[in-house]
Amino acid sequence: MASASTKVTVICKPKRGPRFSIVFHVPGAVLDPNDAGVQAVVFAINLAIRAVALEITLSSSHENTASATSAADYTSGDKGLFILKDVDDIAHNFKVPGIKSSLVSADAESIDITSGAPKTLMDALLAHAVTPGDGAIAHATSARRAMNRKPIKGTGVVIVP
Amino acid sequence: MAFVTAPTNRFKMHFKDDVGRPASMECHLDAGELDPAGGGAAIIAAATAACSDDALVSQEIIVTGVNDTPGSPTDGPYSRGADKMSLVLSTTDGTGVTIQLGSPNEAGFAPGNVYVNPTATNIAGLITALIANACNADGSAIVAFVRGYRRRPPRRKHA
Repeated sequence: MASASTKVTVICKPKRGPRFSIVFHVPGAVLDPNDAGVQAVVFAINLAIRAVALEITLSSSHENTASATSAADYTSGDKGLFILKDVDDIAHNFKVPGIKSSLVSADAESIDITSGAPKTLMDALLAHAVTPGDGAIAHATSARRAMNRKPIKGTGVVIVP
Repeated sequence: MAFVTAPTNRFKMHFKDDVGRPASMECHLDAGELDPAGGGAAIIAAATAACSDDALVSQEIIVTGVNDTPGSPTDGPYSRGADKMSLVLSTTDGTGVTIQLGSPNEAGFAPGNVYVNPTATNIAGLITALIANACNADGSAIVAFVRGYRRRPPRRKHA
């Protein structure tokens, strides 16, 4: 269910200096950039400033009540990298933060996408995710752990938990 | 002015680990997917959460539109984004909403250029548009203009 309000972010370009954003909220049912109410506010903002509105984003959010696993092996910085390809064979990467260590193989690198939760995720992405240009995601390629740890300068040693 | 809507919507999932470090994962969904907790969004969110020890704290659908006739910015005494006009408005639940406008047109200020003149044509129009269409984050409608003032960018001297 959508949130009680939709956050509208107007990205503006001023005469001098970098772009900036103006944020306001509209009732939650509105998720159309060309909604008359949104347009009325953006039009009025345009008249009140010397910058111009280049782009708007409307965001509807849903909050969850969930708890992270305590003392997990992998935390937010450690990702499970799921790679899928579109019909043009272009790779699309999806990084799952805090990947479950139980899904990572004994070599601490590979993730088996042929069964269990990784397969379910691949199937969900194949069925519902699309490319930014609305092309189909065609096939699942592979998954592995993407390390957050960087090589230590001078020794070249990589820390692998 | 019209906005050209992007061909797909962004779906962003926000996670936190057990010490509160944030992380996110994003994908694109069909433009018809508008419910962050339903349809394909819910299926991908559940499947992603099942692979993670982080908590999936929220998920959002982001729809983007690009202005097809943006025009050109104009020059004036406050022509940077760091120059702000702050508008404070009240809502039906009694809370305040602050909207910050970068690069404000100086015509919206009262003499002295410190406080906002709510009767200036463009400001009156903006307040009317906000009261008719906008609300706070909880969904309570904006009902009145309270006050407005100019904020100077830090470490920059000017009139």
